Amino acid sequence: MIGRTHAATRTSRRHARLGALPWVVLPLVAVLWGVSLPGIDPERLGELGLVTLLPITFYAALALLAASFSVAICSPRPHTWLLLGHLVLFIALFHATPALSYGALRYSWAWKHVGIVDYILRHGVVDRTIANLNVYHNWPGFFAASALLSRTAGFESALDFASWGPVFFNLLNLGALLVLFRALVKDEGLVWLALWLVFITSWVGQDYFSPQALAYFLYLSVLAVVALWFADRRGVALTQSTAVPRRPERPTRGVVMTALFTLLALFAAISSSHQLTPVVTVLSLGALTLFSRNRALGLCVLMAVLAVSWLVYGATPFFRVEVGDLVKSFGNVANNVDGTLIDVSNLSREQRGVAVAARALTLGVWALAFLGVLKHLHKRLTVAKRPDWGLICLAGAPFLLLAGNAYGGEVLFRIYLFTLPFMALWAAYLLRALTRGRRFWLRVTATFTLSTVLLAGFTVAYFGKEQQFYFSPSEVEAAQVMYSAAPQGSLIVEGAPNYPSRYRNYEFYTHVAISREPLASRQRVLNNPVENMKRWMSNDAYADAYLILTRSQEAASEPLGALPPGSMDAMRRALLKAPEFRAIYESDAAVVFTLRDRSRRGTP
Amino acid sequence: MTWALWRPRVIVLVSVLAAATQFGLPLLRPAAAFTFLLVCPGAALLGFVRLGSAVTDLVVSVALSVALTVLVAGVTVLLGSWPLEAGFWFLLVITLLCTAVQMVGRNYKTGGAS
Repeated sequence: MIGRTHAATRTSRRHARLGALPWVVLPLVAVLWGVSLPGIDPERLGELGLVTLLPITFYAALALLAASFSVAICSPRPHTWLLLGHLVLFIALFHATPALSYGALRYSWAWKHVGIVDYILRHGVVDRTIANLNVYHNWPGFFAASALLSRTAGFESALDFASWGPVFFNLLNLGALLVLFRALVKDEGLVWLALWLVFITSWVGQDYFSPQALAYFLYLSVLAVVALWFADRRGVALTQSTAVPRRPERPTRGVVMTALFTLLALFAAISSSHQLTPVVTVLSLGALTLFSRNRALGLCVLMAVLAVSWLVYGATPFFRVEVGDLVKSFGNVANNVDGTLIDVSNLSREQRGVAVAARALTLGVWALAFLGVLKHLHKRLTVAKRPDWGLICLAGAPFLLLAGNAYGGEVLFRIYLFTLPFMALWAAYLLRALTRGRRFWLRVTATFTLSTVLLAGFTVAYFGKEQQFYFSPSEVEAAQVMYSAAPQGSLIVEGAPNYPSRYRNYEFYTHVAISREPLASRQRVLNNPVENMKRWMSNDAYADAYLILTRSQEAASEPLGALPPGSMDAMRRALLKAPEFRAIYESDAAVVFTLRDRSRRGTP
Repeated sequence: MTWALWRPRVIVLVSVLAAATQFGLPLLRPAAAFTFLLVCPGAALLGFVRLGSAVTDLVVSVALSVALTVLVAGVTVLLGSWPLEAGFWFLLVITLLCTAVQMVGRNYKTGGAS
């Protein structure tokens, strides 16, 4: 007996020593990451994006971080600051690396968002009836706030800070998720494991400088505030507790009023910034209300009224035009799903691999969560206890979006994003339940193995498309030269819309993308680019006309099947030879053409 | 001295710094502006109640500040009646007013002892 006690003490001491290991490993991870950065040359990005470009030291840092987290989370008394350090370092590894290595804002959509901020900085107002990109003018909250930030900080454009969007929003989400998870579950180890799983599987990339990134943080904050101060004590918590643990027993009247004010402010900000997030917020709160985790039924109804009011009154010009399509797509689940899934047979071999990795990761996370729910139901029902239906429904509520709209072919991605925190929580629950009471090394090995598999999928899914998302300095320069030269009312023809576009004076120009033309028109242009471009660009409805072709346009259209392989390069060579065209900017990565003589008019 | 007593002083300091950098100190201006707009209005409003842990306090303060910045800037650009920077001055006044009320109230309760 005494011998057994000594052995247990020795084991406990050894585990305590191992638990201290991550304090040493974390600085090493930071050093390895720092060493990796100078070795990343984005000009050499291949068809698998950063996956094949990241140096071995980066992957060593990642493996060490996963191993260190597995040890830290399985140690007898996980240290909060240490676990936080792992997550912050993970965010730095994945989200600060592009910001530090690229030197220019990534994602073409982010450039368009900078363009809306530029519009507000110049005019001081939005124009809800504007013809181009009017959806942003009808939901202006994020852009207005960015413009106010730019003006107050003394920046001329949001370009000065937009590159750091992913780091900023992921850190905000980390805080909101921490508060939310702590309000929902009692087990601190489960909280941190779920947080880890959220960040290592969040591949959708909606964390850049965008309204949806801001609205997502506010959505998580709304749920956190509701779970903290409006949770019904009759509700069950995931880990045996009968009450939501971190909340004061009876919030004072002052706290309730403050929480109500906070919730309404958060929801009003969401409603004025993004179209989809208010719907998901109301659905999630509905799920909480239905299953007794939320006392504020009236709040849920009020939020639904606020969301509809913004759609009908705040975004009237947009609503009038789109209401027909909204009604038509409602209930058409099959079409909405089809709109999201691209046909992988059109993709290049590498991009097919990226699509498969993303789909496998999505299904893997959902499958783990499903098993976690089954385990929970089995455990609760066998002892005649009430399962946590509220938390189960939170994970499922965003799927109702499928009945609404294809959302520009993105609805499945958005569903994954909104379900992810709760799916991760159930997946973490499964892992904890399966390894509870097992030996220390078995728990560490299980956590590390799962993390490694998920990280492999995440790295490919998240970094696999960087060839499209990265813009070289010469591509940025080409766009600058073009927008500086183009007078108001010019036509901008682009191979594809994927380049630094519409970020300056965007309302003055008409943009036409060859890759988005109807098939017959696209084919005509590719068969005879010189004659067709001459005809388009000599149209006297426009003050002047420019054609921009870039490497990033090629990367976004050819491997994805929008244009045949080699077609943009062929067009570039043909136009460079044609005497009717003059290149006002030319580099390996980009070229901007204009007509030498626009007096030879053509027809549109 | 507890964080509850430090908090209003920090808010006043950041607010004054953010205001001062509008007229000079260009190097400090981005940091002061971002810290003010992303933390202070929410922290000032939530200062009236005790929310619980410091993490909860910070996260809800940031969320509320972001929401207030979005709403004030949104109203400004929808109405178009004021320049954009009026939103900053409006938030600054609200923040300082709330903080002043809290400081006076606390002083009154403790009889000036801190």
